[in-house]
Amino acid sequence: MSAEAVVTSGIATTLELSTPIVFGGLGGVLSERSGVLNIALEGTMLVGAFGYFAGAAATGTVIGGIVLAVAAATSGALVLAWLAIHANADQVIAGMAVNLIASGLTDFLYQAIYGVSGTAPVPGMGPVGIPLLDKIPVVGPSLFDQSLLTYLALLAVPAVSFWLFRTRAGLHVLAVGERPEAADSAGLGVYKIRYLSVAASGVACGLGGAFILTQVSSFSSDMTAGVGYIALAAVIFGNWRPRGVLVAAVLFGAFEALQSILQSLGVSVPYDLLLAVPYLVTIVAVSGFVGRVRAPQADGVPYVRS
Amino acid sequence: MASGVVTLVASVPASGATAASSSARVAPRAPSKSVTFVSDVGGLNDHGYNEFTYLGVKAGAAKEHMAWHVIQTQDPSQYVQNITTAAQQSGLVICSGFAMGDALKTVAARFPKTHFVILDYSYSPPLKNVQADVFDAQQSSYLAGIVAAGVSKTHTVGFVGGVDESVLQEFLAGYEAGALAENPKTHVKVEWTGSFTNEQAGKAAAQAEIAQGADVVYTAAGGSGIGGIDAAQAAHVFAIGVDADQNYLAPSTVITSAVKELGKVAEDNIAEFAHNTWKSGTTVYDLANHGVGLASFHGLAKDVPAQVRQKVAAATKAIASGSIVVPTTPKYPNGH
Repeated sequence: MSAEAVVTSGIATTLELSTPIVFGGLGGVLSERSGVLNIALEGTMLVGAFGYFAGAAATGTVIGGIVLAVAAATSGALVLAWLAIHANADQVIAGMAVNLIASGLTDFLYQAIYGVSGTAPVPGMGPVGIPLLDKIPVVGPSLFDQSLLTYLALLAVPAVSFWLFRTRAGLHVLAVGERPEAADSAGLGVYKIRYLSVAASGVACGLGGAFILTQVSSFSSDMTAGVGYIALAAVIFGNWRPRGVLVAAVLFGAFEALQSILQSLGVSVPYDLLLAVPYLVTIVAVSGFVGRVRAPQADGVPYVRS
Repeated sequence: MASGVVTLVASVPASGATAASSSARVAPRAPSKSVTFVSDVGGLNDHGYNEFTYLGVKAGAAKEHMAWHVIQTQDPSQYVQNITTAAQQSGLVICSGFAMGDALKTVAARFPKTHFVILDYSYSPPLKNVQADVFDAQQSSYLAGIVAAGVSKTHTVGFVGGVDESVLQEFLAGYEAGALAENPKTHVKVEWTGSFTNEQAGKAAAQAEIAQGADVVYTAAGGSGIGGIDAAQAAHVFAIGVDADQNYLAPSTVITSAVKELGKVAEDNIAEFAHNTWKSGTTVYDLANHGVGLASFHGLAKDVPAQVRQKVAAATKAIASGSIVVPTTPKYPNGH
């Protein structure tokens, strides 16, 4: 087969694998920039994937799926928000709790509602070509023939970046995540801003989970398979910035696509090692080899008004 | 986490409770005359291995009016604990899958009077209270290889496996041998996803093979393989399902499936246990005893040339009679 087809498919697969990491990573940025450590991305996305399945199965439509995905994931994120903001829980433990509950609950609900054999696959979302651009050789069919959710993820990166660093509301989020006491004395509602930020992270994770389901159309146990943890790595590697998240997500997606291509070319690769690349580069990133990576100052610290 | 599992256990067999109460009405039995199925981490709704064993357990228990339970495993670290729980409540414990082999060995020694069944794993020397039921999946995979090479127009076929271990290499070995027997010019592309749950990885693997010309993809990767079927559907090429008849997942894509009669095995064990004829040891399920085979072509029969179907039938006979011995290790582990 032609090298062109392999490259085209490799780029397309990279974008497909990157999309949920971008959504999850943006969710992580929004939450952590406000001061709520979010390691519940995995569970929140799993709930989103299940929500899409349930919504699409009930309504037979993609929109129904997306609406329920976002609603379910946002509810999941609000559980974390409550534990972190009002219950002053250890945010690492609270996040893991959400992940574990999500894993058990989605399995349970799936079997309770659909039985063990489940239902027929639900409507998914195929690629939509952008007129004219998709005719360009190699780049066209790989970059401009994607799911609508992939375009949305790519557009969301500059949008969230602009909102966070250039608008008043975004700067309020940053203030709350860096110096909650100062923000409070300046009259900002720390709790409210944190709740809204975590809810926004739930929306992003809902879209990420929905994307995963639209790609395969059927739900299975723990189907997010660690994407949420890779998104968490992308948040750190990307220095808590949307653009950094995008770079990390594409890098991680490219490594996974590359190992698939190498395998199918008959190259003997230690695929498990390549799959560990996201975590290895994150360790390199946090150990300071590639410039300074700094978490928001109040990330993970509950704010108690004195 | 432990409490999460217990909740699942308590809530899932709602219908099992009815089976138990009806058994009390029909034929009162000692509490240990019940069966517990322990799933592996793939979960009951894996559209394959666990699901069909589970359905067999349910059907077998209903036939014998026996109470049944199911314990779903969320994490490999829970295997010992879950099998122990199962042994405490039932006289017959069915464990799905080779991943539980070591855990079962530990638990079986602690409960010498309990009968255990494990699928796709065997012990040497055999354990006194374990029935190991193994499937000659290379035989059904050989037939799948004949179909794949027979319908391929590009002479390139793909294989997507879960974890690169000997149990799964048997699938590749048979598939490759069948494909080369049908057409020696066939290229076989090989991918391992490293997972039985990651559907996106299965999809990416199949996409890489399709980009290199594969127009039939055989997925032997549990839930991860479902992503491969989806990639085949999107690219309008054929897929071959695994373990169970997976045609319903994509009726115009899944041309056939290499099936294991998991449900039958579960039912047989339960019947023997109920009639006190259950024995430990190793049982091989193969083409000769209809323990493995190919599923129907369903609506895609028109795409399978008559001569390919004849070859499948001839190979089935030859393998069953022993005149063809299907290899269990692949000739080209990385494809060619």
